[in-house]
Amino acid sequence: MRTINKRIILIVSVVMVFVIFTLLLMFSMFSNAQEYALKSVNAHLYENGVLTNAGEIVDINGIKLAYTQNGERKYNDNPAIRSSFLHILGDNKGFISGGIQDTFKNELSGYNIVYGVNKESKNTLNLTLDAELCALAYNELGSYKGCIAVCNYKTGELICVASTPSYDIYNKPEDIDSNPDYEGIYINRLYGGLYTPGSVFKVVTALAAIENIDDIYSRTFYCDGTDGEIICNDVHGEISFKTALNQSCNVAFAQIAVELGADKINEAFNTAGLNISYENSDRITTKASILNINDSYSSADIGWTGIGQSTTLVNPYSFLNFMCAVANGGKSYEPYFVAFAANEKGRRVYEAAPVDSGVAINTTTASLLKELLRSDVSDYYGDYIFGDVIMCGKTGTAERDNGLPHAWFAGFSYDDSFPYAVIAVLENSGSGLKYAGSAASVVMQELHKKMVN
Amino acid sequence: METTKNKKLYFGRPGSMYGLISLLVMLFLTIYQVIMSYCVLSQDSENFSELLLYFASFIIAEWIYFFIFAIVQNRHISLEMIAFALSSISLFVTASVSPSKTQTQFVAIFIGLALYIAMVQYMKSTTRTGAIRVPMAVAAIGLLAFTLVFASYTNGAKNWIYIGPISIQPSEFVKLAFIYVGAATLDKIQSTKSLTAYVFFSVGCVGLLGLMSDFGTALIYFATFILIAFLRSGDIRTIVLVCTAAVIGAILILTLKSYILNRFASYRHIWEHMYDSGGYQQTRTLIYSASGGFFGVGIGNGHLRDIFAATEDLIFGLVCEELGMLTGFLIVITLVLLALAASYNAKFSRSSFFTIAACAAAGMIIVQTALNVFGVTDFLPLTGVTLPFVSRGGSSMICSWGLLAFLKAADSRSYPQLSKSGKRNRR
Repeated sequence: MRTINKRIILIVSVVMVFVIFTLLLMFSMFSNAQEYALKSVNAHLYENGVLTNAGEIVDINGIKLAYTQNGERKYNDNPAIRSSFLHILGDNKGFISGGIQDTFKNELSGYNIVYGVNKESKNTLNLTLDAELCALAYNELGSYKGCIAVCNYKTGELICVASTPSYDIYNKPEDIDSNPDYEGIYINRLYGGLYTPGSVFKVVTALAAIENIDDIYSRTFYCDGTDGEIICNDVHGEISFKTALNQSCNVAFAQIAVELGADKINEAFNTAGLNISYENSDRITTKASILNINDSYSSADIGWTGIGQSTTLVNPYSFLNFMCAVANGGKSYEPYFVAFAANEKGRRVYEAAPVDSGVAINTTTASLLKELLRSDVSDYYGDYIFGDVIMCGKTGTAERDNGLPHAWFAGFSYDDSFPYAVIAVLENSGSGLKYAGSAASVVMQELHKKMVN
Repeated sequence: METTKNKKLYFGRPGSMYGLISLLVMLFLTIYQVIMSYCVLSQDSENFSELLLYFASFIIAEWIYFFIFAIVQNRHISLEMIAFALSSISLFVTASVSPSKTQTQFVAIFIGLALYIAMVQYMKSTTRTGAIRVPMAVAAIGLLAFTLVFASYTNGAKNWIYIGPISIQPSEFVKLAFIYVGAATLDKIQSTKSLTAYVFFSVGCVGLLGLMSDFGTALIYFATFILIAFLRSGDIRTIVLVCTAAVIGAILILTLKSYILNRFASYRHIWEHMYDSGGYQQTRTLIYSASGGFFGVGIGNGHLRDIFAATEDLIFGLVCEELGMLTGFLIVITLVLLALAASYNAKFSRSSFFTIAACAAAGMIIVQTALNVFGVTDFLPLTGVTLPFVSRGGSSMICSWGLLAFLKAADSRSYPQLSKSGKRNRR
């Protein structure tokens, strides 16, 4: 053996190092392939940053919400549907984050590492939303900023989502950045909104009371119209817990809140799941509601908090989820609207599975709350407001330092065979029942009509 | 002895499958090339007849080579089959991306093949290998110096010479001289004087390339120098010393001329430089490679071809996108096998000249492949070197065939008439 032959080991080592690097490169390229391929500069999938090589997005009835025709991304013909789906679909220009055309680009483009990009994606994304109902809700919001959402409280499937202000993706307003009417237009208020809750928060206080004050149903409170700083909407005189909730008596609920103390209200707030920032299956991150009280706060502050008028801010999505849990025996599934994605052959490449929202209200408490909210409607607001739908709910008229109050309505159908919960918030509008309640009523009645027929 | 000498590799030798396997490989290769030809031709009616001529000529030439060297002369031609396969990919890609440049690529492959045959023939004799080393060294240095003086900057490096319509990259041809001179010098006289002379020659070559700002090629030369020096001396300390000196030298140059460093500033940060020249090519390479998936989007359907230097520096990405990542990595694996086969055969070569030359050539191929493939994928800084046999470029193609000749010459089976037993001479 020549001495030089031993030295060949160097070239063999060089080759081995190269092989190791090649294996690392393969691993890196294969494991990141999806991320790389879906970069918005990929001309196979995007045109000017718009995902054009993408399949259809359809609503629950198969109505096309977005599709690609001749290499161009198109949307539904109805301007109201286009506007009501702006936030859900995304604007494709990066202004609206979290639109499903971006977050579900993988499913829409049908990319997979084995076959690479599709020449023309035939994947469809199927939503649980009803486009016509969304458009109706959008119209009900009218010129007010706010949001309406309806979901199946047994499954978490959203059937209606609308958020205003919005715009028609085909006619983006030119003064969008200067006109105050369009302030916050890029945000879907259902997920990103935070509002003073007003009286809807009394449901949380009531939850705390049921769980912590044993004789709450036999107790009476006295309202002479004011209690210190707190002013009531009426002079209720002697009033029971149930009637206090029905008539939204501020004085009684402030007294209950003070009696409970900050800890118990915090506890109920967390039990209701309001403290959670959800990252739901639609790949949307929601804002968590905010409650800032502890034992060092004055009674007045705790009283204000108990009636939803302190520094508390509530996110509509988290409150809708809370309503679902109350309606559904204490448990709920995170509301979602992307049902499944299927490829050309109908094979599902994505399928949503209901995710437990983490809310766990005691079953007895939930049914007591359900009856309380039912009596709000039957004994106080009036069943006639909701037509054929047997509703439970609570209104809120959140007073603000300047401007008209935010109108809230949170509720659900009492009837198990029509298992829908609703949330409606109309900013700077006025009375909760008049604005939010009637908007919620229109949407729920329309949905009921569709379901019955 | 007489009977074993005439052992037939291909036909008439009982028990040997080699001939049959070679024939099958040739058939598969031809089928692949016919399919590729069809795919390219079906997309280009304008240049149909011209391209058809090139493709058909290539396939016919392959079979003529197979007939003459394998069947008539009874030689192993595995290395050539690999080179034919890779060269044909470069021909198809060039024809598909820039049809007007196919002619050059086609001619370059044939010049490369002719050079290969000539070099293998020349190295048949072990006695004359040392004869032309001094004039070759002088010519190599002269050519690089000439390039430095007369070339103009092309894409940041001063490495192209234009003679009428022909443009050549002298540093590619000097690669062959560099290996030849290195192997021949150290083979002949193991004196300090000749070693010193070779060190000066190497420093000259690497220095001139550095001055041309062709850092990728300079690095390839340097790595090859290290390989040759180690194969000759076997002294790991000297190698460490040389590398340390080189690193210090590089740091010194980079400190003095910090603008050079800016060229590599985006290394490992390419996604932050997606829209500027720092990371544009690398990010597109990764994006479009991924887009191809394992099987590719099909030749002609890619988008990386629209990016600058797609068929040269970015060829790996282009192959991954259009022909699939499996093909891309298969090419890399093929080059690895080429290098491993060379280092194995080098053990049984006729003299240490062939061992050194083959190992140096194999090392050069691997280092260049590493700089190319890992450069465009951001594993290493992007230096802009070609992928042997596959990148478009005449000089690079001819040099690749020249390097292959060193691998071939080290394999004792390449010269069956010289071998007494017809078997490998195990020493």
